[in-house]
Amino acid sequence: MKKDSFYDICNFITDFAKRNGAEHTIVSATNYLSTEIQVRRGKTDYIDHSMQQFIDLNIFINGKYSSHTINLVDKNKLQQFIKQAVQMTKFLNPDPAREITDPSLYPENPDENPEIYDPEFDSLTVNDMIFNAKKIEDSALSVNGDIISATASWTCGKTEKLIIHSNGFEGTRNSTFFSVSTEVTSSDEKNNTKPEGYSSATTRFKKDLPQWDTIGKDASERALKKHGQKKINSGKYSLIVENRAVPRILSGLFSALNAGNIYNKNSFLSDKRNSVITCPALTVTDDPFLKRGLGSRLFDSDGIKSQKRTIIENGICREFYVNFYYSKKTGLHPTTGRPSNILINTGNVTPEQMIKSCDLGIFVTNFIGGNTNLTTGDFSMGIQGFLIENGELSKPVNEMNISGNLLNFWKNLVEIGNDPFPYSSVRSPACMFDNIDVSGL
Amino acid sequence: MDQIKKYYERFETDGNILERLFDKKNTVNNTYQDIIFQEINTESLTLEDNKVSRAFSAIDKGAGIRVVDVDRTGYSFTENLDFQSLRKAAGFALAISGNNRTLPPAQVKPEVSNNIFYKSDILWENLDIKKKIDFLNRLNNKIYSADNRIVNVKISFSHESSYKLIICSDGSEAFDFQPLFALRISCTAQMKNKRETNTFALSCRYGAEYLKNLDIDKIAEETVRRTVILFEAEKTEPGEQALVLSAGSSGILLHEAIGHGLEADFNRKGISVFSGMLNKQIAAPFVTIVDDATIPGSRGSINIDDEGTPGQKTILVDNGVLTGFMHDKISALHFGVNPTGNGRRESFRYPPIPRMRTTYMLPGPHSKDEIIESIKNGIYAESFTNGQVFIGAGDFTFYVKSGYKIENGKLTHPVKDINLIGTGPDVLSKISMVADDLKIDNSTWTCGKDGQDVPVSLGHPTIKVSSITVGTSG
Repeated sequence: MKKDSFYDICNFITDFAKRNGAEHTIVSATNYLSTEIQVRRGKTDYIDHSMQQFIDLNIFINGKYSSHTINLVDKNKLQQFIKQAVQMTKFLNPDPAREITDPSLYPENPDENPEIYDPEFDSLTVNDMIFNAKKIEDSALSVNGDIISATASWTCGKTEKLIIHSNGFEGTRNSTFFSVSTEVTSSDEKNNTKPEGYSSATTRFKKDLPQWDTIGKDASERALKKHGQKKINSGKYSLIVENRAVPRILSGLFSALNAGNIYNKNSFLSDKRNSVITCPALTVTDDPFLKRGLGSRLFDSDGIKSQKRTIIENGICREFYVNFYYSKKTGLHPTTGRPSNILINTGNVTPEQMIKSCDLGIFVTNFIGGNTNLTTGDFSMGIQGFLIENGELSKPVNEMNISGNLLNFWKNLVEIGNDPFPYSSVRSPACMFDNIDVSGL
Repeated sequence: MDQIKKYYERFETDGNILERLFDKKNTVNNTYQDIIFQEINTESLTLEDNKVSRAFSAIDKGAGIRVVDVDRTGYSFTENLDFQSLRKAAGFALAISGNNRTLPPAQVKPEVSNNIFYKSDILWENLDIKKKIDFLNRLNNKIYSADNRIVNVKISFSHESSYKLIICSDGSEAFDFQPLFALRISCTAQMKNKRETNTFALSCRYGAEYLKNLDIDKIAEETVRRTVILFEAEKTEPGEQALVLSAGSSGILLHEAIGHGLEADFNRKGISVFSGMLNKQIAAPFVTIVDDATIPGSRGSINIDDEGTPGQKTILVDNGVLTGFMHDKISALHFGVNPTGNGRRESFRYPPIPRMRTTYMLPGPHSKDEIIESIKNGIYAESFTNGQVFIGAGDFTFYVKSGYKIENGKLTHPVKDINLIGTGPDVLSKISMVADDLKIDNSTWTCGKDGQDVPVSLGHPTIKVSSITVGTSG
């Protein structure tokens, strides 16, 4: 679809749905173009080049709400689909909170440039991507050690989207992303196992990607350093979580801040607004305006105007994630339904300095599996990493679990690093926690 | 043949489409090509806050074209089924073909499928929406009235009808209609200041005639039972313990600990911890593990896979010996064996790769009571949520939502929220007892790999693992 046809199709659907009984609609048209290249053993192992286009339609009829997706743009088929969609909605039970967003929440300039679209996307060729992916694989294989397989991937995508709300909001969202990654499998013959290493980076602009050889090398080194990994004794340990692994342990906290979980009595943070939920050293900001941020946006999926918000301020919970529907259900002021870019305040120490300061602990590089009971905050998850003894990484560990309650866990945060991970929408530095229950032998 | 014509009509194509899309004289001489046409109609209803106030529907239609040059894959899809769009997608997929061949291209003798592992007398989308809403409201009322501690119930009722037509350059041509129904319940109870949430789910490949088989009383009772029991759960000590996995959903152990490691793409690349273990004894002689597409109505069953190979039962571990992997056409060629019907994909947007279907262990010589009685100190794991595996190192985890502590051969108090972690080959070698009570679990298991989700199922008799690392929370 071209730009004008975006408007044509969205306006057509809005009009047709309203003529058939919809009170209000939110309609969007999306074009998505992506290319993925994987290189293995110096050859292209996989190429995927695809285009997709789809229409999202949300219908509101007197407290009844439905959402629909269709990828056919044939107008006759669309008409039939819309008629059925409206009909289906009429049968639902009404819930007065199911309303289209209040227009006072819409942004004034929804088409400002949030710097999430890189025009260089259009000049990239498949051959460039293959060439670059081969360089990444070469760098992975250049590391000395018993490497069985290295797969380097180069992926990029472009999204063009137009959104029209029937009560007066129109916005576009055009974005690009570029992603490089390497997956390396090594052979640890002595222990009859094949430890893997993985490294990746995703950015909005091509030129913000890291030097490609760093990704390949990093993946190989991560695989090789795991040789001889073993579980160690159960006990209480200090935990230093590597920057890129922190989002996993933060996600339970953020799910509990969601108003849907709070309304459904499924959040251990439901009564914790303006209460202490972490150690006072932690401040977490949601910044939708972060330059070239992977989560940057001028409005959210309800069309609500973006705003920078302090979610946790010196350990105190300040905001919940409240979309328009749950604002009606809970009486809370609408903020936004889901996080944009999450920024954690940085400290002054490097991860190396943290490790040096630790007598007995574990440097966690990966979490594996596990889950969080959102109702109680209890969690348990697997870890991989390195034992720290007397300020040094002494040996690789795996097959271990950490567990506890998220409130206690975050209150045990004792140090924040100075190294926020730049290739994720969660920009977290390394974090050090004291007194964590670890189970192994 | 009449049936395939209906599929040709639905997708406005015919059996010679590949010949028209690819110029035989040109660069494709030695490549394998296939095309999948697919239409997926999805609908769901959500009950929240005592009202069915939300509905969803989607139509997704398109075609995916794949070109395989030995073991290298070019893939593209299009949502427009006109010839020009298909031709463009074919051109993109063809970009993979090169001059690096060392093996002849895949030429597997096609098998024709007459499988009927599921059928749908009444399409879910044709069932009156009022009947679905009525079902949800009745189920909601039943759950609330079962226990006055219930404070929140959320239910989703979803179904899809997927029509597939697959045409391959090796001569195979197949079509299938795959219905899929899923019911998911989340239930929260409150007792004094404590709250607990648990879930119940079921899924099948039957049509809407299945609705009358759903016993609302039983579903409500089980949902409430597994929620309120969590109030009684006590903390258990972490560390290595003996483990009993209950019959049914503990098949997640097989899925994570061994299933993924036996998907042949990992083994073709030599990157699985199980690569090189073929024909070796990896478990006790009473351990036999299969991956099965043929269980009537099961969420994991498929009449054909997404390369047109008939769905079948594949033995992975036979009396403790690793006998085979799960293959798609690419890995089958590499290993010189027949494909096993495991080439699956999320939709026409993705290429097929080896995936599980319903993975389970066959019954063994012991009894459930005998197993529990044999343990002095351990955990009896009953319900599970999720798991993960690292294929090379073999590290896997799975999360126990609820279970019981075993003390001196008896189930004592309930336990909850436990992550179990181990390595695949190690845990397999520690399966020391297998009971005779195999049960296939009909929950909404969904397996994720390479960014693609596919419906699967799993099953298990009661088994004993002599020791595993237990992480407990709270």
